[in-house]
Amino acid sequence: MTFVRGRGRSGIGPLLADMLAGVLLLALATVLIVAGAVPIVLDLRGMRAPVAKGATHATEMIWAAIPLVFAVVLIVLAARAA
Amino acid sequence: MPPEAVAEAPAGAMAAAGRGAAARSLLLDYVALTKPRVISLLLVTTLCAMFVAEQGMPGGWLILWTMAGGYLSAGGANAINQYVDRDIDALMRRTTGRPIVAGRMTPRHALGFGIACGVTSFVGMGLLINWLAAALALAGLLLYVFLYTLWLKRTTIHNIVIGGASGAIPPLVGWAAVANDLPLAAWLLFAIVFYWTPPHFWALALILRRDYSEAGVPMLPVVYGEAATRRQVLTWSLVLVGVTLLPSASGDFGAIYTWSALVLGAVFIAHGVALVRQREEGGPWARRTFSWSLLYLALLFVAMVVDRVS
Repeated sequence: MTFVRGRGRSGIGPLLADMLAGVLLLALATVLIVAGAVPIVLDLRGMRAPVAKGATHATEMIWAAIPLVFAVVLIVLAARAA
Repeated sequence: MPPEAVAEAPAGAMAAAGRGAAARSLLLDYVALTKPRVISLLLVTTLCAMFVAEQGMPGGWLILWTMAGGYLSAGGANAINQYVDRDIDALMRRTTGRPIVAGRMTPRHALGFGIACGVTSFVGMGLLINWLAAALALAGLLLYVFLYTLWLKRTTIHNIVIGGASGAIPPLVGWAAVANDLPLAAWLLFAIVFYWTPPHFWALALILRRDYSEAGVPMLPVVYGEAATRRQVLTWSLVLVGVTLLPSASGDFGAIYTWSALVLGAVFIAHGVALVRQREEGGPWARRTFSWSLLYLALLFVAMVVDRVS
């Protein structure tokens, strides 16, 4: 089930405007996600080994990577759907 | 009336009143086990996802069964969580009044109640709604109990990041209840709640840092301190706002949702900036960010409904 921006409108003009809006929103979303993800990774790299039992720096990096990889997948899927 | 009957009548009434008060107290303890305040926001995301999937008002019975099944599933997960965490609940001031810790309910009783809630939810939703919605609700319970509570909560600072997936399932349940299907739009709603969880929960962890520290729970501010946690709240809120724009970019929502996501997101980021710039420890911005995060998620999901239904 998908919806379309500017539903109910027809013609090449609104279609192009919708496409442009989609590209701009995708670009803005990507910029925000990258702007957040880079400091997250850099912050973690600079942290000392966690004191939590059973945790290592490597496991913490893996846990941190999962949502970031998921975000990349979401961007790709949204771009394909746009 | 014999004199002894007159004397017994008030005693009997007092005993009945005592039994009534005890039953009421027990009922309140069962409700407390389910953590109704936590569930209320989950159900808002479920309900809004139902409206979005339907592009209008879903049937009344479908809403009722989905809300009831969702409550039982999440409530069951919370009851089992209190069974597992009873040792650390006893160490935190915030949780010492919980039924198991306070000795008003045996741990096995609470565990049985939680399992019964989960089973009732799964079977009921499967028979009355569909098995996809039932399986998703059960998956949420299992993720919360096994992934978050039993594995991650006590072993990693990313406990609420990965464990947050369980709290992000309710929109999937709502969507599946209506459509018996999970398109990209449904997964984007899941993603919004998933990425909302870290800045929301770490703002709360800043407020409850001492409690978590005393219980030995490796929440981010306990392990890495307040300054690092504040930075992470801000950076995760940037990721969150970016993710909230993806449903607009993919064409799933229109202008009402898009502008709402931009404005609400800007306020969220502004809270994150204020939190980072706050110099003193334990200042007001953690509580403000936490409160805003609750309102933010509710408003964002309401905006989705208005966008799709209007």
